[in-house]
Amino acid sequence: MKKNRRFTSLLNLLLTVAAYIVIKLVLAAMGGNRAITNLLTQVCYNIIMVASLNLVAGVLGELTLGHAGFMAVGAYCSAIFTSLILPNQAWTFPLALIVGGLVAAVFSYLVGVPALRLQGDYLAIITLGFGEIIRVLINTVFAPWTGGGKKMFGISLYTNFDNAFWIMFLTVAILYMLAWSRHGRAILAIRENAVAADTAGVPVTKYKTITFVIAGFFAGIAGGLYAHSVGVLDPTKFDYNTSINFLVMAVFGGLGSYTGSIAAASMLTVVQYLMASLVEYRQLAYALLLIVMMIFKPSGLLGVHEFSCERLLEKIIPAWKDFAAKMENRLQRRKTRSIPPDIPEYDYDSEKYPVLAMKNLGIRFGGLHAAEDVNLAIYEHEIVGLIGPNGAGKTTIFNMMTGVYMPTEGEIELMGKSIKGMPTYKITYEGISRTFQNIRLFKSMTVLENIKVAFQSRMYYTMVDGLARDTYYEREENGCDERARELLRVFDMEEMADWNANSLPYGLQRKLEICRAMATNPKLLLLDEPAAGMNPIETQELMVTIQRIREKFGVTILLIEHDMKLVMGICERIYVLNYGRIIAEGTPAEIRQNREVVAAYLGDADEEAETEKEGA
Amino acid sequence: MMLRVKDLNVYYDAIHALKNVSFEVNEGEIVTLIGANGAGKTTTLHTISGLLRGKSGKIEFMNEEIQQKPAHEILKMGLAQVPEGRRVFTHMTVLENLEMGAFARKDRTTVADDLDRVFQSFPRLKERRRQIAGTLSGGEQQMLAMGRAMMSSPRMIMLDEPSMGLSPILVEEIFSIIREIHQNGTTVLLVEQNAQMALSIADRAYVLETGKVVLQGDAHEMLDNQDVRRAYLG
Amino acid sequence: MVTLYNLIGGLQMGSIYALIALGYTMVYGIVQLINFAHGDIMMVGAYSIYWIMTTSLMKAIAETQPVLAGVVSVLFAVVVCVALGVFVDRVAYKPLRNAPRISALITAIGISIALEIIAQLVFGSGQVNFPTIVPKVTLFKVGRRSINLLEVLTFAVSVLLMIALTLFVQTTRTGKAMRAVSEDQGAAMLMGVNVDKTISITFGIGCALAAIGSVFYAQKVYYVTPLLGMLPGLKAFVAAVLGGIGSIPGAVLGGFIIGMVETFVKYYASEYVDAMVFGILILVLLFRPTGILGRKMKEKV
Repeated sequence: MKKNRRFTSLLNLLLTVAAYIVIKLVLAAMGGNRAITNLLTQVCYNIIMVASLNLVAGVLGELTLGHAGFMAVGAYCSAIFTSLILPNQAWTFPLALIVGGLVAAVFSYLVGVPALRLQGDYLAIITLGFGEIIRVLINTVFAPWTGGGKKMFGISLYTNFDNAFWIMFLTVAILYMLAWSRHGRAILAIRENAVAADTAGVPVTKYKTITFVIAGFFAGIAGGLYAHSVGVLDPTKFDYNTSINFLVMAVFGGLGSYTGSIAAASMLTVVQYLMASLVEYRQLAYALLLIVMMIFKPSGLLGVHEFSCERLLEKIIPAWKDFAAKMENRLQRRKTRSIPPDIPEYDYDSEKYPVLAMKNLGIRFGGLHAAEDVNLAIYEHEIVGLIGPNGAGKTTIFNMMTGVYMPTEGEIELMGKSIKGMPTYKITYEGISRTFQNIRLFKSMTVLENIKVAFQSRMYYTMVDGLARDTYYEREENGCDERARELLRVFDMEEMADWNANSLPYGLQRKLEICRAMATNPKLLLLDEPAAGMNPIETQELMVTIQRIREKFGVTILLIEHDMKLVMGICERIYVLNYGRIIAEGTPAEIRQNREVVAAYLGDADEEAETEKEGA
Repeated sequence: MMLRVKDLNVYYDAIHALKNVSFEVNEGEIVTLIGANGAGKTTTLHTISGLLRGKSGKIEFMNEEIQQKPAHEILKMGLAQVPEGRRVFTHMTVLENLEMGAFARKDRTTVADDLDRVFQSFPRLKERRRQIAGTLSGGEQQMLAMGRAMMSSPRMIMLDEPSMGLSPILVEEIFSIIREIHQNGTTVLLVEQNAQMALSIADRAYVLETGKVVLQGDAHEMLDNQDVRRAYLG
Repeated sequence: MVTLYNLIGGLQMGSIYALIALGYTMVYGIVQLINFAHGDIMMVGAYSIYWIMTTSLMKAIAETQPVLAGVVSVLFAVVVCVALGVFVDRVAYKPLRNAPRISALITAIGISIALEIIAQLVFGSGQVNFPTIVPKVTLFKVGRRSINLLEVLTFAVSVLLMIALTLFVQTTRTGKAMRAVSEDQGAAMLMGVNVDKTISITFGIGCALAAIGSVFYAQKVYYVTPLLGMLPGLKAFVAAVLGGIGSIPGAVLGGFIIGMVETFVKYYASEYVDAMVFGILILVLLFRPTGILGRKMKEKV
């Protein structure tokens, strides 16, 4: 989000109040029809369920099939709280909801920690299994409190339309606000490209877990509302089919869109009510809906877009835009100071230690040595090349430097400090940044947002600040915005700031990747075949860019490249790798003269016959 | 005329990847398509071999329209492709990979002859025929990919960036093998980043830029052409 | 004695899980899709036998030629399941081959529910009795444990089918095509492999195995319900993951492990069986995400 848009928020709040009043008036006109009131209450907690599911399945992009399990945890815990622990006090119900939400959050943490380390499909299965396990536990271990296979009766009916509506509003507002902070950006970046997010300094597993826990918390809240709305709990009501029902709603609304979730949950809950006597046909219709949607309109009603009343108003009333801008200005607090992301100070003894040292480093994949006894040192302000035939282990070395692979022997030191075994995002924080052979951008995010993600580890405001939109949030976001644009200017890409990353031409995508790598303020920049796929002119420009980066940012550069013109043109020193071992080191001139290198790699155009025999 | 591509248009979702691309390859020629990454070279090859479908335009191979045919039928007509990045079957042995190359053929004896011929051109593959392909080096995998394509006994072979990711010394070797394949009577369509190398062995060349053919002509003239050199050869 | 008793039961259940797990693993290997509907295909197989055995013609045959009737009904189930599996693939999965994986997974869930509900609408939501295809005969005794024909047949047929499948995939032309497609579809197309046909064959084989598994399973429990396939399907999936998804010997190994664990746990604490199986899954995924015999499938960076 570009600016903290108070006017928009105010408008949304007013609209919600208006909607609430209209519903209340209609209900009053109908003489307080109980069935309809109950249905609307159900719509509210279903919206909470679907919106929280959307956070995981849509925004984070991980499929979970046990969302009803967390709802069950919240429902039972809050019901036990209101009936056994603290009955009939003024704060009983709100406390019970929070307790239910917290316990559900604890459960989602316990499930999420193992499951989220794995890829998508497995998460789906584990969450499905979890849903089943929860039901087993409710029926067995927890039977003394839950009534087991028999139902749990006599839960006080604290939930009404009013509290359900406002809790729903709060939930959606929180989830929505979360999306527009550095934390939301990090979550989106993970969906777009987890590996790149990791190297941009986003602790991927941590954010995945947090997302999962937040979703579990709100599912627990919804469970509490449910329990105190129907008064009876039956474990079979939280089975796999229930989870699927919510999934259908999220898919129908469009995975990734909260307004879609709200629309779909409202519509389908009403459909469910109207078809109550035809459960089987409804389920069949849902199943077919899922299939048909996936084949013909996988993006659902709204895709990843959000419905905005402002956009609608702009369309209907031509003068609206100016009016909104004026109001926005008036509501804006006086300009807050901006705090740019931290620039780390790399304080180390550059006389004593190289920027990076690899000592007897090696890695084995299932008995096969991909790299062995690698010793190299890169000194302050150098541009060093790493060349060698394909499969020699060049990218493997980058992967060990950035913590993607764990070396099986030897030591890596960054500015005299061991970084072996550190997770990728921490190594980024410590001062190494990289690009990839096959470009890895956050494709559906804008150029500017791509850069902003990389400031992640140099910013400090918390999730709560992000939700409250307080001064910490505003200062840092302003600073981050300014710094990101500054950086884009250095790379001559400022006018493309709001373009989608994947709409950039190939050469600029490579440039953006380098720009993003620079945003983490590294001490050492690793470039993996930066010239791959460039024509000679683009390569020329790239050489200039690389040299300019070094001068401007004082960064040290190590690059892998096959283009000898580039390597020989800008590298001060070159390491040659063959079969996972360093076979030569020296200046470009020395390397060109080195007989072993010529035989293994460079070859000699005049002695074709000979080289054909030798090969690599 | 062996291959004729006429007014080919290909889209990826909304992106117009090929815009009215037309070119021809005569029997016995080496023709090269050169251009920067993203120019549409691989898209062109994939559309010819049936991995992608064009939106409009015609592709004729041996005077028969093939733009609607599935990939496996196009291969059977004698048009093989060595894909970019080699894409050998890394979990199969070298021999199994070569057998996959002859998958579409029924005639056992001629297949055996072709296997011998491939082993002659690539002695290293013969040594390693029991080895799992994934354990070969990059250069060996490129040879395997080329040998595999030759196993279908094609009239024409399309090579997509055979030099990619190879050391200069291996690029030389690969190109000399391409020449050999050509001398043995197979027509060659070569897609390359390494324009200098490609032009040096080709008869004719087409330059692609952002999905359009912007230049065409004799390969050696192009190699001498200052404008081309400036734009594509550095 | 208890151990022996459970060992035999475990082998029987393990064979069934292995048969179903093979379908998961082969389909996953070739199109990277967890076919959620696989367990329900098995349920359809059981209902097919139930249905055909209620026809008057088959009833008549069963009275005079019980073996013939059994074989015919099983073949019928195989044909129905194969046809259904191939149909589902063509109609629902094929349009999504290039879509995000989450889309195909959601579609598979949709198919699974649709099959269950259709079965419910056609046959009712309650249990129906499964006919006797394999007569209850005790063949021999080990200690005091008598071993019946169904147990022997389940084990023997499963092992034979697994050997046949392994040979098929390793040596035949179609088997090689399957391996090629599972590794690189585009490259396989360039070799002249008809990818759609190969995928259909894979689905067909998986579903045939599920149909045979359904016979053994339904014969053991003696009933069919619309949700018959759900739990065995899930457990077989766990077995496939445990053994290493994509690996044929892995699926067999995983199947037997799950069968054994289940039988032993059931003996001591039956209400925890399902929780236990999923517990194993979580542990395996934690410590060896690629399963026991799975290949390392790290994303290339």
